Amino acid sequence: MPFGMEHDLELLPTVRFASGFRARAEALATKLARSRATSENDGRSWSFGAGDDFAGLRAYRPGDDPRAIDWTASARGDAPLVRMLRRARGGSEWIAIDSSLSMAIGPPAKLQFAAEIAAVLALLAWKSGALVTLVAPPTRARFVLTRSRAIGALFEWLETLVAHDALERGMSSLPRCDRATWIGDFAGSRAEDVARAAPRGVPFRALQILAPHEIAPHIDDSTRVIDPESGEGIDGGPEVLAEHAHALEARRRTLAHEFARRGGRFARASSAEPLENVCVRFVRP
Amino acid sequence: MIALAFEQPLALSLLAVPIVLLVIARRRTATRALAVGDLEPWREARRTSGAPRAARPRPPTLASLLAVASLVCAVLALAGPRSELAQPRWTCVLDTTASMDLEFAGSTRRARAIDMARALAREHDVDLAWMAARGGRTVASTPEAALDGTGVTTDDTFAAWDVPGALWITDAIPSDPPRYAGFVASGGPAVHGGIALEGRDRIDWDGERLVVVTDAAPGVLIGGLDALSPRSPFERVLAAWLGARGHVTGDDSLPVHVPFSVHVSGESPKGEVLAGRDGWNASGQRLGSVRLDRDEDRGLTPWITAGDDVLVAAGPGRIHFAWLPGEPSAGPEFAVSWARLFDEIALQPFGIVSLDERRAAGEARSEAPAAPDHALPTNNAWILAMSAAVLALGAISARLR
Repeated sequence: MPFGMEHDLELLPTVRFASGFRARAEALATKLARSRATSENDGRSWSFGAGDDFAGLRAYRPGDDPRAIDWTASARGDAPLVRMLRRARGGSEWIAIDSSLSMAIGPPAKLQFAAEIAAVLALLAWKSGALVTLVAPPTRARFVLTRSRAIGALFEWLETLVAHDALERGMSSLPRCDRATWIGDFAGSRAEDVARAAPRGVPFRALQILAPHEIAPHIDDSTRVIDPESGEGIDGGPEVLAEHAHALEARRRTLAHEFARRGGRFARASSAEPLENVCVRFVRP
Repeated sequence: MIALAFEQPLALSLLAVPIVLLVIARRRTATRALAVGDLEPWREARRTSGAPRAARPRPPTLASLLAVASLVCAVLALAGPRSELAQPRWTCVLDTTASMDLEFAGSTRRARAIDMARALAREHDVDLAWMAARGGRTVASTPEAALDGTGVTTDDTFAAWDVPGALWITDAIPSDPPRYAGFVASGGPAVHGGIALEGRDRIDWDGERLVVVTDAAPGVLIGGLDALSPRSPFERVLAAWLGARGHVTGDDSLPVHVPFSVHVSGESPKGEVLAGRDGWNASGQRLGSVRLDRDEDRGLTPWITAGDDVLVAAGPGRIHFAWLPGEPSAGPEFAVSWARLFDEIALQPFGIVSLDERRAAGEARSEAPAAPDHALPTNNAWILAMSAAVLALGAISARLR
């Protein structure tokens, strides 16, 4: 931090779960699992793609995704039919939690919120029988949640995460797996970073978490916006707020487009949003 | 000119604490840093909004200013501030008794005492101001200006100036030495000469005994009597007083002494006015009002008044009339009242000094006064301490708000 500046925000580089969070996360994961099961029965879960099992055909109903139509089977009958898929039991799911220093920005700290979401998503995958692997780039930390492993170890591992200086900007690549999830702020990520992060042929989703002041900043003439990772700064000022909002929205569209091009989904959330809302919105088919 | 001094100047070194805090607060609040993960949207916003602009420093917060002010007050309270004259000054109170005019070593006792006072002031590196010891409060820059006019010194006047920073200028060591004031006593040998008049004779003191010098007394002349009506009640009383005091009306053959003179203010009568004092009253023509605001009227005090008008005023050697009394009410009060005034204002003839005044004044001696204590009362420090506490509370409330 350059001398002569006042931090308006705390850097909160560690993760600490509140007492009772584990029960809350497990309940939320159970709720989401039930919700997904209902969606599967509705036949709307096709999009999870590879790794899901074919469960049968049913008549097309308004609202069904046209891409779910089984054109071969439909050609044999009079009405269009859609494929019903069931989440495959087992498989492998990777969850990457960005642990670069920028994730320490808050409050609420982005890393803390990312860890909470990762816990819920890991439990959700674990309940579906998947082999869940959590990683925390740019560190080499890794945790594998197997069917036989105690759930408590997941929370303990998440609490060991610390936001570090970014040794390498951008996103690192993930190994081939059945499903992948990125949780981070995607600070400075470019199109090629997104391409590298998204394993080809693997369904994946990305959740961008920003601190409240990164989405709706309150600044005055004396504000200097700085990047704690690089130490670089740029003078803010109320006169650029509108342009900043436009630039932020343009960036959201760019990331969403890049992920969509590779078959992935992208969402943005504030670290101040309720955990339940974000998880429901993110997991929703 | 007032300067600030401190009883515990070392405590001022603690001022470094608020100064350092102020510098730190200033640096902390110079600019406010907002940490973000991605600078790119900001760069884009800055590019599209125009030229880069430097963040303007924020002013220090009210809480930090109040906290620093509180600390400054606390440190000043510890240091014990007091105001004092930038250049210390002594006020010289001049003895105006006749003995001060007696000859001493080719000069006078007064001149000798003044020289001693100036030497003492140089020794202590102080300035001097001067005032005559006759109850006045006019302070002059020179002894001559202070002595302008005549008057009589009383012990009460010196006693009233027994304060730090006061220097009594006299000839003999005071029998009751001052506690706080200093003094300069010129000393001086006995001075022979006339001590009183009796009719046409003068009584001299030769150092051991009294000698009557016949026909040596000066004649007496009351100035300005022409302006009054002959054989007026005033003139009749005056003649009686001159006779009672053995004064001989002066003529060309004798030296003349003028104990006092009479002045009449105004010319045109403005009507009859009944006035009086000391149990008598008389009706007389009012000519106006005696003015007391001019320099030449300095030393006059009202003696007979009517409402806001001063009808008769008197001072050493002078009586001013703006009213001419007619026949007074019956009784001796009129004569007694005027005679008392004549005794009070009459000047001594030149060279006539009382025997007590002529005696030797002893050895010369000087003692510096106690330092003028212009310090704020001690309890003013707690005012600063209270201010510090109030400011600290203000800082806390401003911080919490």
